[in-house]
Amino acid sequence: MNDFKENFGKTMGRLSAGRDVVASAKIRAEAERPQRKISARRILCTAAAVCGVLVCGVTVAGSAGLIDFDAVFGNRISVNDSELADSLVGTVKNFKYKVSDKDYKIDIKGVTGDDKRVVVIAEILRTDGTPVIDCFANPVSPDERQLVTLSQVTKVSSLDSFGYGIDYRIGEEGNIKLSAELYNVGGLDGKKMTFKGENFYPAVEYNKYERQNETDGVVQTEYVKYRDPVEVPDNGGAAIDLNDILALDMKWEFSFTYRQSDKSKQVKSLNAPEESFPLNLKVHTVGTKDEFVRKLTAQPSYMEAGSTGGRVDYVYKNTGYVGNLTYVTDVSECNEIYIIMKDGERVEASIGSGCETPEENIITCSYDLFYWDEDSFTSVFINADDIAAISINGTVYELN
Amino acid sequence: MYIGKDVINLLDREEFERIARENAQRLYAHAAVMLRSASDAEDAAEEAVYQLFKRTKPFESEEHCRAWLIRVTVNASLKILRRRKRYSENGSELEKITEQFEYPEQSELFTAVSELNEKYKTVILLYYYENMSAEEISKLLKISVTAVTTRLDRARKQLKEKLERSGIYE
Repeated sequence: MNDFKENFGKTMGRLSAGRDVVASAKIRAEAERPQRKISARRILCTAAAVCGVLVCGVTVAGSAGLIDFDAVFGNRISVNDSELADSLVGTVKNFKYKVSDKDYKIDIKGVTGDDKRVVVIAEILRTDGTPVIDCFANPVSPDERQLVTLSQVTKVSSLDSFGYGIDYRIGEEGNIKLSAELYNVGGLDGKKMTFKGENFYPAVEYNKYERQNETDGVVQTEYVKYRDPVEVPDNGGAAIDLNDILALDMKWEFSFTYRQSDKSKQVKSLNAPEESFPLNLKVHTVGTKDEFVRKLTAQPSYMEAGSTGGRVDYVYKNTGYVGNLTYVTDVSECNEIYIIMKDGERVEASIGSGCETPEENIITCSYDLFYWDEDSFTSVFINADDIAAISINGTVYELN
Repeated sequence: MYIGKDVINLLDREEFERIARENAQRLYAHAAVMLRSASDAEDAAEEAVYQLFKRTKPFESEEHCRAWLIRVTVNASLKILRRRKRYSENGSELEKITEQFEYPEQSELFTAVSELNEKYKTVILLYYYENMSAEEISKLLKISVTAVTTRLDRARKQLKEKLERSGIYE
């Protein structure tokens, strides 16, 4: 197998991610990283006394434009509450929760998604308006509240062909924001799923261990351990008993039924602009190690701007090359793209790009446009009504 | 500022980022074999690096860190696999991976390994790609050395059959 090892190494060496996973991971971590020391002793919560059981039904329903969240959740970015009001496409039912302190409550903020993906956003609050996180770690300033990350045990009812995800974070006001995501490749119309969560824990290292069945590799058991990341014990980090660090004894659950909106996405567009722009293209010839960069002129063919940002399609003719070639566009170095708002603000657009396989010497590529807000660490989506134009390399394309 | 100096020392972010940059390609390649999907592999690699950036406990050495990253990538990949267990495979996602290869044989080789059962391709990756010994793999996967060698043996046999069928090895 020596040949195999060598060839396998070379094969694996050819692979590289399409996006900068280190940069995106860093952004996520920066947004959530606890920078303050949290002592386990400080966060011991008062034991759960008599649990007040509060059951309420919340129904959120509405209709608005479809929103494509592929890019958003692929990068694990939460949506903004402001978006939700315009994108309600589902119904939340059977919402209930149970906490060790009757002063807590959960609000379902909204439901959003597209035909294959739906997200429910909820917020955990205290009825007297004081920040929830103050119960966890007694932070002395609003800034410190944001540095407390949480873990939670979450269970989701198992249904065929569904994928799901739960995200939770601390908002600026010190409350807990939950998002529960459901995904189904076959579509979600009329589907129903129940989420159940229990027991929030403040920021300590979270590890999940798996034990595998030697026979077939199926996971038999999973359990969690918590370790204080700052005060590393002499034994190298023995697990803290889960019950010792319970900060908020809370159970929540809800189910939702998705119904697809029949309204289309709000879009502004411009067809066939006359101007073209330069494009750097890395060309790989399949079967050889040749790689070279060509500067070509691209012709925008279509632009649109909607509630998820926008997209620019462009085409160029493949002149001078025939045969089996692959191409990688590198738009970041040679193009400046701005979204120009009606109030004159120029928003630098983040760019994701891709090209379709060459066909008859014409290659079709596209940019995805959205912008990243450094302050809130979120992607900001744009109401098409607020966009006046898109600028590429100084050429302004008016949208209609 | 609440952060103590000792905590800063434990959180050498620049060093973590350097290690992340050096390992990102390997982690992605590892996950690509596990998941046969470019975007899922990116998610798994990102998750591993994200966990690294979140980590507040120091590593004993770079090797320790590298092994930890691989373990997190394997776990993240398995988690994604479990989540989509009943999904049909997305051909275009696999194509995004195989189109990066220089030679058709590389694509055949990748496909053969990636088609193996999860537990078999995991040990193949660790043994042949990460150059780990059976003992190191046993520690990483928390299984016995015997289990590692058994899996390796079965994986090699299956691979041999696949590659002979495709004509890469005779």
